[in-house]
Amino acid sequence: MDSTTNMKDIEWARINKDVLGSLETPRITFWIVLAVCSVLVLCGVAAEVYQYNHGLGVALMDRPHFWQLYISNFIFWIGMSHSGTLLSAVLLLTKADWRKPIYRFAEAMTLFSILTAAFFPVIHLGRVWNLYWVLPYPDERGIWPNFRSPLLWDASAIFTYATSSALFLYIGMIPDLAICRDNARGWRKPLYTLMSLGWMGRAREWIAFRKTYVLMGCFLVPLAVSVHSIVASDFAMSIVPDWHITSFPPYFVAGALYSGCAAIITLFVMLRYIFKFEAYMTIDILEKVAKLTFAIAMVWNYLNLSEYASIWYSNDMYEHEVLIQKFIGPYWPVVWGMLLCSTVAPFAMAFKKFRQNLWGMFFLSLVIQLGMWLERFQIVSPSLASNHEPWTWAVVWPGLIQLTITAASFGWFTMLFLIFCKVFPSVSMYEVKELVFHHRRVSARNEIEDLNKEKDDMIRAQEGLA
Amino acid sequence: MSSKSWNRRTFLKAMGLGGAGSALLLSGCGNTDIIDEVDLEVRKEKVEPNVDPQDFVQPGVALYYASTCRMCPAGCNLHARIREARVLKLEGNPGSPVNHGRLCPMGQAGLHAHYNPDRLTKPMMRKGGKLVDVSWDEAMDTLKEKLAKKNSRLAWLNGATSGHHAALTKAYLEEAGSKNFFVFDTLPPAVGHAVNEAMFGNAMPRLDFKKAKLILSFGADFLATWMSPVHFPTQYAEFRQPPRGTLVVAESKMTITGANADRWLGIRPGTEGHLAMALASLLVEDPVYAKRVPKDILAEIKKVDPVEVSKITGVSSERLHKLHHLLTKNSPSMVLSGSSAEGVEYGSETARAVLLLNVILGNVGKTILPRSEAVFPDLMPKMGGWAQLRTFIDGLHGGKFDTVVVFGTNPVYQAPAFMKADKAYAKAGYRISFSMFPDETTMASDLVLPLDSYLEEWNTALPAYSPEDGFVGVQQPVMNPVFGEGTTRPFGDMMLAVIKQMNPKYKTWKDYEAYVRDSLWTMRDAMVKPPVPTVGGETVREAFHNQVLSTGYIRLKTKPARAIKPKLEAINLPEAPKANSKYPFRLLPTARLGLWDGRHANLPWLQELPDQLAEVVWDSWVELHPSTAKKLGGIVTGDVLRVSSASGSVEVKALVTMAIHPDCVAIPLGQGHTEYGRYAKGVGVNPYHILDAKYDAKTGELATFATDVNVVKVADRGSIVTLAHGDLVLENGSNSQAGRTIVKTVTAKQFNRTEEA
Amino acid sequence: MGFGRMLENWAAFRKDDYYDNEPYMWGMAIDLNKCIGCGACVTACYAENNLPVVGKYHYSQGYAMHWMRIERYWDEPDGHADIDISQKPETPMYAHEGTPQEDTVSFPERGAHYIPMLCQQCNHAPCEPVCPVAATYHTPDGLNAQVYNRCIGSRYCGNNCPYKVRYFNFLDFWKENYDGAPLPHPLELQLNPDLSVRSKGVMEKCTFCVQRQRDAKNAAETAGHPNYVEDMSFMTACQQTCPTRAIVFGNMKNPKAEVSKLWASHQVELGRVLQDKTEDVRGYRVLEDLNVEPCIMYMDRVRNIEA
Repeated sequence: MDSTTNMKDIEWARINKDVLGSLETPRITFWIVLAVCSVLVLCGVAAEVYQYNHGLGVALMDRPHFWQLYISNFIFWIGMSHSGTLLSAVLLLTKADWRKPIYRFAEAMTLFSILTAAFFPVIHLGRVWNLYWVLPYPDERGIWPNFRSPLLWDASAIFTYATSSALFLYIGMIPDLAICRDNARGWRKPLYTLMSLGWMGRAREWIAFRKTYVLMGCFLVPLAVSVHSIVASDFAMSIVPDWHITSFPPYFVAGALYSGCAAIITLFVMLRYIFKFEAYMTIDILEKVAKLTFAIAMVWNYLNLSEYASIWYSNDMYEHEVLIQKFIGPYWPVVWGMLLCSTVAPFAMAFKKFRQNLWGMFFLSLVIQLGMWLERFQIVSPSLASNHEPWTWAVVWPGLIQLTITAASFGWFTMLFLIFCKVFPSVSMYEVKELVFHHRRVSARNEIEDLNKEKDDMIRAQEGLA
Repeated sequence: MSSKSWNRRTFLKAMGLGGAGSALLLSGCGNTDIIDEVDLEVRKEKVEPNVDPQDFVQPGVALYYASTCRMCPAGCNLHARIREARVLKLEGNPGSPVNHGRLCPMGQAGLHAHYNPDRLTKPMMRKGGKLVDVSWDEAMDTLKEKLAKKNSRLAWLNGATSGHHAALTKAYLEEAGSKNFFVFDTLPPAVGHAVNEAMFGNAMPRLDFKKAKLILSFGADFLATWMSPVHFPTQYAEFRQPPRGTLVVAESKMTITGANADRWLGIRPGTEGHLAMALASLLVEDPVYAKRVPKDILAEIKKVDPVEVSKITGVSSERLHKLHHLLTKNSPSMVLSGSSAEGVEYGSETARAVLLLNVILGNVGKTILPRSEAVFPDLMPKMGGWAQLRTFIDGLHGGKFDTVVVFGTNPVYQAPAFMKADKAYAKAGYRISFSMFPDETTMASDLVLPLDSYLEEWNTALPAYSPEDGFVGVQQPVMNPVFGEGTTRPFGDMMLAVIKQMNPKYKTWKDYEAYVRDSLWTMRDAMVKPPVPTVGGETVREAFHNQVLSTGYIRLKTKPARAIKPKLEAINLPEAPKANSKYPFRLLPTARLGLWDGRHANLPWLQELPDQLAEVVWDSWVELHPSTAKKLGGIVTGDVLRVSSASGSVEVKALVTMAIHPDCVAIPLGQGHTEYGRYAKGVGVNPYHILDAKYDAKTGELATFATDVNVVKVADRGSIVTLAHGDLVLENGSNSQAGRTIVKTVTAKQFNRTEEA
Repeated sequence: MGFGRMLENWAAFRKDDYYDNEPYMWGMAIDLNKCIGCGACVTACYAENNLPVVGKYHYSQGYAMHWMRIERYWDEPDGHADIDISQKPETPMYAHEGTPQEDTVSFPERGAHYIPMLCQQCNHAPCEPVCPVAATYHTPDGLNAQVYNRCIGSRYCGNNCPYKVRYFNFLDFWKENYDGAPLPHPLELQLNPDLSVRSKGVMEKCTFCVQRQRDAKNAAETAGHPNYVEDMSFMTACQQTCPTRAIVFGNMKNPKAEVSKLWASHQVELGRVLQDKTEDVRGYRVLEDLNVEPCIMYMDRVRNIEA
């Protein structure tokens, strides 16, 4: 089916109706899922309170495994946050219109991923209550934080990224919030009225809006790249074997884009199914996202394999040991799992039929996300297990507390996302309208062109005859 | 901080604070009142008042007192660092010829014995079948009632002892008219002592490590558990300076000494004597050596076939000849015999064979040196042995003793099950125990008298091995009793109170402190350099005590030692030990530097110190060679095994290691307590428990290395994937350097070349 | 405390002669020919520095807090066993323990390889730049200092230490002690008041007995020579107790100090990655190739291979 034809036939009022319809009182399933997520979050809180009181020992990390799931979760969630930035900012700048129906929830995903990720550097600290010492404020002791430390860069990077993404999401939502305001009743009305900042859709407002939005997009793209590069430098700036790798920043960014895209696909399929957004989140767009994911998968794979290759050819004894242990040592299930899910599985997307298969892509996206989660884990633990000093080699698997908090993070993210979907429009109405308008213009122009061509043919035929 | 420019030496010299200060500390004005607080939080906050300070207590300034360590019979001298009237750290006494200012892990852990939460603080008596707390008055009255009388059926079992405790005990037993005095300590090599006595005229001749170019040790773990854990390592360090001496160790399970050997010979258990005879037979091929041996013994030696011995011991001919070559090329050498070699039924023969090598090699008079006559024989160390314990227990079983006193030893724990020590002890009429801790013997007693620790009492102690003759270590309290005045008491005070009732002559001394001070004073004329007053106004006596106490030891004049004239006897080694199909493995109950024989199992530092070979903490284990592990069906480290002898069995976790002969399994000593406090109770197993009733033919000592066992796997190792192998906790993740240069090794040749001074 | 002051400090730190005027540079030399692996140094360190005993369960979880530890290996750096090859047809490698070997009986015939491992006080310490709150820094006298009350417990320093000699208080060991009870009375009386007892969440490591250094410096100042501490006038706890005197600690800026003489005679220089030796002398530093500039020199273990 020709999506262009579909698109151009959609009435603007229908767009409003469909999207606003998604904000209706939720069905029972929503409440059940929300309850489950809340329970997970509460378990996580309980686990953290226990850990806070007793110390990190309850998480079963040890020397030499000073870092484990908290850090790998942190990277995973920051990674997932790149999805939105990629879709909203990068594709905005490259003028890819197919992003228009889907970037809203992707941006939301970005914000919530960051909000989830932000917990992990906090709870992984030994003395959480002194967390604020990483802030560069002139304190009474006269000590500044250590600006050479990548963890400190993390703090500012995450903070900047969180605020920028929140702003970006919010600003992009203003026209939509105005639509919501115009159609809302009850508690929603004052909320939307406040948040839409008096948007009336005037030309002046639109011009200012466009400028701001594009500018923020330009700002966000390098920011996203730098944030994840900084997170990568947590590892790359250390001397731990198989962490101290120059290609880690681009590798992490690629991995982030990869897992972000996969998450987009997951939410794409789910939202399309739940809210019946078939008209907007078309198969065509899915296929484009799939192609994008595939491309990024190839980039990530290249960087991954080149990392292995350069370690192998380096002949560095410490790095060799870790690399070999990754494949045949105690953490081999994690590594091979990652390769299966993230290297082998995405080749399914080479087939057009698969790319257009909704549930196939959904399943694949989950597999890829699992693979990328395993990837973050296999970055952290095997290097620490086989470090420079053989006397201290040890194998540690994450304990119940760490797993509970990991599960809680997924619960928290889902909870935030669920609430978002019910309070704010998860499809950008004004952008879809722009898309529809564009398609109409294009098809209208095509029609006129066709008609002109017919006319020309007729005239030519006539002239020919004459 | 201090406003006076004292350093430690001038402080002790000028003030003689060892004497005066501690007297003041003891006299009550130095009450460590922080003890009286119950709440730890409050205690932590309590500050030393400066308005009404205690004498000689300057907050923030450390004092040092000299005393003597009693954690094992070695008797090293120490300096205790005192802050705010309590001892915080123990260091060696730099002037001591025994330990040269150094301490071993047990010495350092003395603080944990001193401050142990499970120390007894109240006397106890058995009433109605249970031990109940009683007052000191009642306890002392009972003690005097039981002991202060003539009683030929009194039996006294003591741990290794020396100095004035030994003298006072002897004096008491004379007054009581009892000849039943037994000394039992597990690790001193009683067989070796007896053989040395017979051959060289002294149970423990002087050894000159520095002179030796080669040391050949048959199971003598001199770097750790043989006699003196600090002294021999200090000498070993000199031995290893260029030109570097060579160390060869022949034993069945690697000890710390074996781990430092240039060549470790894993030898079939019980064949050390045969190896020694084979070496002897190779040596006497040279007439220079042959003529040092009497004809009859020479004939015996010549009958030994090195090829046959090679098969018996498992040491290849090539190794044997190499060792022979080493012995001939490196003179003088030193050949030592240790407990694992002597712990068989022909242990005396083995020791004689080993020590014979010293005679053949001409080491006697060079590295094996004589001792002079004891200046005060009553003070000399009595190391004891299993034979005495056996007599004691047999006596108990036979109902020969009514009142029994136990001090400084724990036979109910140490003795093998077959001796039925607990039942024997139960048979005694009345059982008195002097003890710091609720150990197995103490908890089976009728009257329990809680002791001061060695850091709280006056005493003298002579080292088990002393590099000098006439050396006497002095002990003084370094702080007030931890639990407060009148909770624990010194052994000396209590026995002096008893003996005063029997002989009024002893009333001259108010307490044991006076007794020791007086005794030392009487030894003044016998001293090499009697102290003279150095501070104006000091009397000779004051100077004497101040200087003796600040030095921490005295040196007595000795007569020159008479040269050793070795007395040799025929050596009758049996045929090679035959394999026992029911019990195919020899059990080696090996001592650890740390828990020793089990007396330190209640000290957390020493439980947490990984075994120096096995790296296990807080547990027992059984070591077996990988080929044994394979033979028994693929045992891996952590599996639970049942080790059974004809006398009993224990269940213990396996540790697979190459540092043991395949024909034996080794279980370390030190665990398996059924009492003894929270840190020791219920931890691990005691391998002595399952020993068979085998004795050295000549001395009657228990042959602790002669029991054969079989080994069966009972359970797989646990599935916890941590540093632990199941439930066995090891310190290390890897035994291999994995290609990294962590420990580099060079050859002795290169070392001598580049570092010859 | 202003921005200006921070810049001032930074400028001072970056001057080339920052360390020149400092009279002390603490270093150590450990002779593996003498070390017998007895562990006295380990126990002495526990006693001196208020190290918690964690008990069996926590030890199995990897929470042991021994700032000084004795490592014992069975093989040579190239992985080969210490067996005289001429004697055995196959020379087994020391595979992971528990692997049954061939029927040829093999022993570690040259004994064990012991090495005391403690914080190397690296001059280019990899742990220092990565702490987010600057809780670890390099003192002018060459120590890598750990400031307990600044540490927020991110444990990046522990990861970055190649020797893994940094120990993290995963639990309040003084509360979660062996039997779950607070340090039982009267054991708390043994605690050394010269240094703190660390709470959970704080990283700690060997300090070269900095409290003893401080005392010695104070005594020197009182005695009238503030910039000179006599060699061996104080010792680290491990050095003081070692029965074989394998550990030598001192001021490397004092040419008469024993440690300086040892470093010089073994031709190991502090500021080099690859030492330039003219003779086969024994001194080396562990993991030197990582360019961390450790201040501890080890001297090769020696074995007489003709025995």
